[in-house]
Amino acid sequence: MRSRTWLILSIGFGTLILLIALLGFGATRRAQALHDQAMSAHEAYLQTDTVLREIPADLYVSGILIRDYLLDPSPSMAPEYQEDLVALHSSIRKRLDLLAQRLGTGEERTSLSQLRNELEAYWKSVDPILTWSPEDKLVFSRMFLRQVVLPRREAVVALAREIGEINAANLRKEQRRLQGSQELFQSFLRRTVAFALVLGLVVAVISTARVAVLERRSERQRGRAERAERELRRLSRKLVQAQEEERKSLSRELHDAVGQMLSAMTMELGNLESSIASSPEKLRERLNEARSLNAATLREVRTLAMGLRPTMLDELGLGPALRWQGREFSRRSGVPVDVQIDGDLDALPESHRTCIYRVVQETLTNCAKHAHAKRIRISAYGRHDWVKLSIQDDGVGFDPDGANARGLGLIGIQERVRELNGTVTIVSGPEKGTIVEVEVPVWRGVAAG
Amino acid sequence: MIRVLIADDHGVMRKGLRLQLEQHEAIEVVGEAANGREAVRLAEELHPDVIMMDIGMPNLNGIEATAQILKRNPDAGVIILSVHSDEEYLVRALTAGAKGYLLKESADVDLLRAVQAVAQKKSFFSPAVAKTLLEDYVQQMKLRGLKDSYDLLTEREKEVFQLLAEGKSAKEVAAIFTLSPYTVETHRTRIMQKLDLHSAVDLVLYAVRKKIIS
Repeated sequence: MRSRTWLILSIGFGTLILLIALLGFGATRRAQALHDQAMSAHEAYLQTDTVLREIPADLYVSGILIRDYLLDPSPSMAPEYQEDLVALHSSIRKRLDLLAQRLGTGEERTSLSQLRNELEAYWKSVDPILTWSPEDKLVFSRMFLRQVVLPRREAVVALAREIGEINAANLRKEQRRLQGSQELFQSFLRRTVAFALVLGLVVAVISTARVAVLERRSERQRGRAERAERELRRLSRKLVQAQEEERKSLSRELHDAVGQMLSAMTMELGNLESSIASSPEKLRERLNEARSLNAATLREVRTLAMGLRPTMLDELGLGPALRWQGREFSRRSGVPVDVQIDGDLDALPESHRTCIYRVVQETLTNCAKHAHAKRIRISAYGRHDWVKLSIQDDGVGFDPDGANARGLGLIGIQERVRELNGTVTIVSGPEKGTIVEVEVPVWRGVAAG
Repeated sequence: MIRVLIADDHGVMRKGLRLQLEQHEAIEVVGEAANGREAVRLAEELHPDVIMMDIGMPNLNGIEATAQILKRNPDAGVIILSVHSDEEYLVRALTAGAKGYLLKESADVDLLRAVQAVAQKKSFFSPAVAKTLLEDYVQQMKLRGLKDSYDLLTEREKEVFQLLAEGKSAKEVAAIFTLSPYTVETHRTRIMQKLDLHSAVDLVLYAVRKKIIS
């Protein structure tokens, strides 16, 4: 689920960014291209138009030159006029070549060659007059101008105008083409923008939903972490208190019981000293008193030491220590405890024996505090690769998942067992008694070192 | 002359025991061992009649040392010296084959009797042990709503029971009562059934508890 959302969002965001970049660059470039095309079309039109205007202008100049020549009576000027006319002729020819370059196709070409023919014919018709004598000029000039130059010039101007119209039509055609391409691009732009919008919306919806889910989840996790931390603080406080309590009670017992007894012993020894002179019976009585006091002190110290860690565990092994503990518990609480030992517990490593012993101790302490049991059954089964322990009581039970289920005792049990990679199972319920089951594996390789 | 070997890891205890024992002309302390292994070695070298064995010793504890000594010399009389009056210790001591069980707190009073009894191949248990065992026993019976069934035994069964608990074999018991060993075996089986006992050690424990032997 998580990785799929991540993939979808990555693809969505990637596409979105790509689209925006494409739109931005594409639109700018397209607009620039359209503008350039429009400008160049207009430029071409203007240049053609200028040429088309210049041809009739040159023609008119040539007409004026011809008229001047015809009116000039002296023949000596003829070569000069001829030179000017030739220059004009070649200028017009150049302009025609320029036009031919600009207008290359179909209709225009026909009009253009007509124009060229017409112009050539015009120049041909002009040629003979340069050889005329002054008399010829007087006689023919008027007729020549009216019958030859004028109509031909008219024809040329008409043709130039025609080509001009074609040129204008070309411009309009180009403009229409550009307009169409512009519209096509705009519709592409609209579609792309619409797609980007929809995609953006989808990505936004998915992201928002995802963020909401993650936020809720992290909120829950923070709540859990806070609860765990509070619980930890509570437990460590309890642990410190418990340790202090234990020290206090140990100190009190040492002071009250052992200390008092040793004080009494000192006193008794003083008595003894003062009775040295008295009768042997009196002396023996004092001695017996001192001896029994000493024995009682010894018992007290032994009980204290056994409570801390029974020597039995080290001297006799786990089985006897468990049986002893069961009996001691019975003695103190009045609840009968059955202890069943199977298999080989003595082969267990020291760490395992201590663990099992402490688990039984803690569980019995819990039983004494809360269970109100009438009978307790402890069974331990040891094998070469694991040890199993089960402690069952018929007491009031408790809710193992309940808020107050995890007291220090249970946590201590769980920590000890977890340390050895074992498992603790607690089956209980109100008025159902309690079964604590522990299974701890034994790693021979490690244990044997 | 009773030859005694003392095994205890505390020098003060060894010295105290030696002082007490050497007050008697019939007793000679032939050696002292400071740990279990040394005790096994000295027992083999010196062949003492009685070995005073502390339980909590380094290098092989007293119970293990007892078992090893008796494996090589079944006639050796071992008295376990202990600060514990708990049943578990007694059971272990008996299982290992010890003949006596002496509490250190009453060693000065009972020491001589214990050594003499064990030297004569009899059992000896500190009265305080019997007291603890009995208290435990009575309490357990009461908690479980059970009754002591000693009174179910016939007079003859009680006599046989005492002799067996003192460590005599069926053959020896048969000789005393001029019965056949088979009859004694039958008695033994019935006694064990009636008292709900399952082993020779159980039988001795029961006898100690009831102060039938001490």
